[in-house]
Amino acid sequence: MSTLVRQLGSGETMIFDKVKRELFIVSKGERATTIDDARKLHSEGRASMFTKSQLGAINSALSHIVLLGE
Amino acid sequence: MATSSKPIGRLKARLAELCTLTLHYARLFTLVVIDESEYRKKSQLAARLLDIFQAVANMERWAARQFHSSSLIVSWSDHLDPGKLDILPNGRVDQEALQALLEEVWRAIGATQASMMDICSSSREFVHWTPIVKSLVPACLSMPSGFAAFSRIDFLPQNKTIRTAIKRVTGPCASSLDPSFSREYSLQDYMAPVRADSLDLVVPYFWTLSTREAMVCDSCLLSSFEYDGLPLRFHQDMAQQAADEARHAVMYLDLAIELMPAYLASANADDRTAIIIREFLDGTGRLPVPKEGNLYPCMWHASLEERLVIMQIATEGEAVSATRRAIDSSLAQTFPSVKRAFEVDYYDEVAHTRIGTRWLRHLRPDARLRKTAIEEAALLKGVLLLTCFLSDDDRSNVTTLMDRYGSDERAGPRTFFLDRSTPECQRDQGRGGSQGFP
Repeated sequence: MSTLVRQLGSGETMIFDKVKRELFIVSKGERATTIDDARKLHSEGRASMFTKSQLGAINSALSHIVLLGE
Repeated sequence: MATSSKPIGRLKARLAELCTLTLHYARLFTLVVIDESEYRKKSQLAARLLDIFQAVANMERWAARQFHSSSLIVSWSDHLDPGKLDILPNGRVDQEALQALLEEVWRAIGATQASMMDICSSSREFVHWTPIVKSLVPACLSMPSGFAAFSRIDFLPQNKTIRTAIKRVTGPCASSLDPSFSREYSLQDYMAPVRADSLDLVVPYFWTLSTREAMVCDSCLLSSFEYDGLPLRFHQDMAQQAADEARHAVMYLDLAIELMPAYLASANADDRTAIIIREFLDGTGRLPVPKEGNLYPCMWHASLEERLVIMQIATEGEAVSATRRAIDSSLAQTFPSVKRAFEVDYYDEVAHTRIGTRWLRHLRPDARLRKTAIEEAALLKGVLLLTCFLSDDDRSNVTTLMDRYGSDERAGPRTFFLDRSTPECQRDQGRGGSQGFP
């Protein structure tokens, strides 16, 4: 499986391309089940795309949140 | 299911049924534990759940020895698939429906055990098994004498086609906090307190940590509830860790409360944390924790692999050395109860990291694929954490949050318990109460 598809609590759909390590967040109400759907919606402005380095930046910005202790 | 007319065949079939019913009871009972907000009760319930899973393991061992039965691969039966039952409307536990279902399964367990006892006592060949059969069902599920044991449930065959881990159902979407806590500040603006060697920071740290420990308990139980196709040992490990974490939640909350008098003795009377603590001890206030609660949505949105990597392997694995050092910290030397708590936590963290490693290996036997799974989970951790910031507002969405956190415009978060600019602090300053602020 080279794609991970998951529904988020916000109603958006998260689609992760495991090969390119790009994450698509498809807006609520849009239908997308494959990476091709996500890319098409992204080109139409109905999905956002985040590259590996952008995901890394988000992780860094959230590094102050520790799930358990330290 | 065709059942042999010979006592041995009937016993074997009944034992399989008893095993399956008890396993279903245990997996349904995970919802009772997750739904319990009071940490002391949650800890007791988690310990009971562990007993039930261990009873199933005893049944499995007995079945293997007496009947050469193969090991269980756990799956929901079609008759009791929670996805088809109304126990989780809108992702929330319907306690009434759940309790009714649990009672039905419990009665079926009693009926099956009674039937096994009848077979044993009516056959000279198996009469010596009667006490064993009696001991198979854990005490917490034993039928009181005179209670009608009957079953409306047909035999519940395990779905044997599922041999790999698969998410069969989705568990509760929310987990509540102990009534001691109040959601006061957002992690979008403030850092939660971190472990420190000083009382002023460590007391709020301990009570905040208590909420996170409860979340890990819920996360483990969520995995046990949701995932089919794994051996019984997986569910036992999840139940063991859940019981440990629920015990830690109580331990750290008790520790914070125990240290509060020492904190008050060393703090100025108008110190903001001291005011919070005094109000809590008076019974007029609650302990402030993040508005995002215990970060449960992060784990709810994660897959089993991601949970194992993010929690057991990365978080707990990386905490081991820090906890080991904390055992020798000056705070631990001053307060023996702190030292004991860190020791308990240290050994449990080591065990939990092993649990994570064991099951990630099971899911990804190939080392290269395992490494990839770890990298992917680490990469997706941010988006999973951001789901904790979603509100009930219809416009709240992950895209906006990702855009915001992906830019460099955000100022670094402050520590709530050190921040003089919070409305509470300004209120205190207005009444001349800022001098003692840490």
